[in-house]
Amino acid sequence: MKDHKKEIAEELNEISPFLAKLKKEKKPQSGLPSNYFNNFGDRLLSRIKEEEALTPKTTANAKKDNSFWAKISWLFRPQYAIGLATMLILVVVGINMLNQTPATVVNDNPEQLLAQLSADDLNIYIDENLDEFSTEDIIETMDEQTIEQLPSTEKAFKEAKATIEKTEPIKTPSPVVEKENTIEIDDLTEEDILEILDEEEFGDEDDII
Amino acid sequence: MPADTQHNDNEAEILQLLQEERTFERGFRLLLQTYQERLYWHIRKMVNLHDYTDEVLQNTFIKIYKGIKKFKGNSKLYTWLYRIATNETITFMNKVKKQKTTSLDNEESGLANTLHADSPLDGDEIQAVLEKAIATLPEKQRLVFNMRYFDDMSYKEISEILETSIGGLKASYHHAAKKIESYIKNRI
Repeated sequence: MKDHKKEIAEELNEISPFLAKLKKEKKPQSGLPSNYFNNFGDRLLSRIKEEEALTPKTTANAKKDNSFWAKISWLFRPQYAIGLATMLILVVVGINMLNQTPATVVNDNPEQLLAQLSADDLNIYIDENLDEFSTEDIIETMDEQTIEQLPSTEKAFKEAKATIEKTEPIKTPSPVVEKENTIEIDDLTEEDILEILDEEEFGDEDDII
Repeated sequence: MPADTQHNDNEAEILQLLQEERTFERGFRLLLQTYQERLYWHIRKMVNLHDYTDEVLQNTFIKIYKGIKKFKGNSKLYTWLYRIATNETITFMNKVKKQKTTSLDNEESGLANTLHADSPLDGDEIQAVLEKAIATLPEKQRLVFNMRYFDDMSYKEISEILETSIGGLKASYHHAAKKIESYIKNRI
């Protein structure tokens, strides 16, 4: 303890020799009412006992009634109970409103109505009234899977080409030949005409006329 | 017997008496007699007036009376008592400050002026100036200076009471001592 005090004195001497000197000259502290410390304990204990006398009932009651209902009893005070009841009513009404479904709903939105139809119904309708639909309309009714299943244009073209190549080309008579076989009536004489008729076995002159 | 050992023995005796209902009041009276004077001056150096000090000291011992059963013995008893007294003093000073609705600077000079209202702690003029100089210090510096200069407390003890680092306390003490010296030299 003495070392400790010595250390403090040395530190102060380093910081402020003036204050170190002042501390050594320090006189006993005064300015206290007489017998203050002799009476302080009694004054204090009487104050503590007075305060305890005023508070023990509330403490005892709090200890006695420590049940669940006692803990939530504050909820039943008017200021809280009114608020709580209002809140409950609002919750019940809200739940009822959410659960309520309208008896008849008149839906006249064509898109929604169409959406309610099955794919089969749509296909039947389109087949029966095909003339009323454009190609775009028909494509719109197809789902992605159906469209993917369709052969691609390029594939279809190749298949068609291969099929065509396999078949024999249709021979058309050459116009030149036709020209050669064609007999102009102005070029014929009367004898030529009779000869041709004999060759064709027309029979009588009456048949010719 | 060394003073520290004697001090520890007193603490142990007080705490033992306080543990039993039958001996509680005797133990509390012993605690009062042992520490009341030291705590009184610790508080008075902060609030200056005797009436203020009396009020804070009573509040401090009421807190101690109600809380002593919760004292775990993690620190020394007197460190714990000083901490309560310090907290009560600061609370009281803040309350006074609020009531006066003055700024911190005005409050410091306000507390310094209370030295004129009451009789000085020491009749000596220079001691009166010293007390006035201490009253002008910021709260923390004032606490540290009082505990070190008047109560000869170690930095470790002060750090336990104020819950501050020792480095910070050394700096506060150094600044406080320099300011006080300057204040007094300018007035004598």
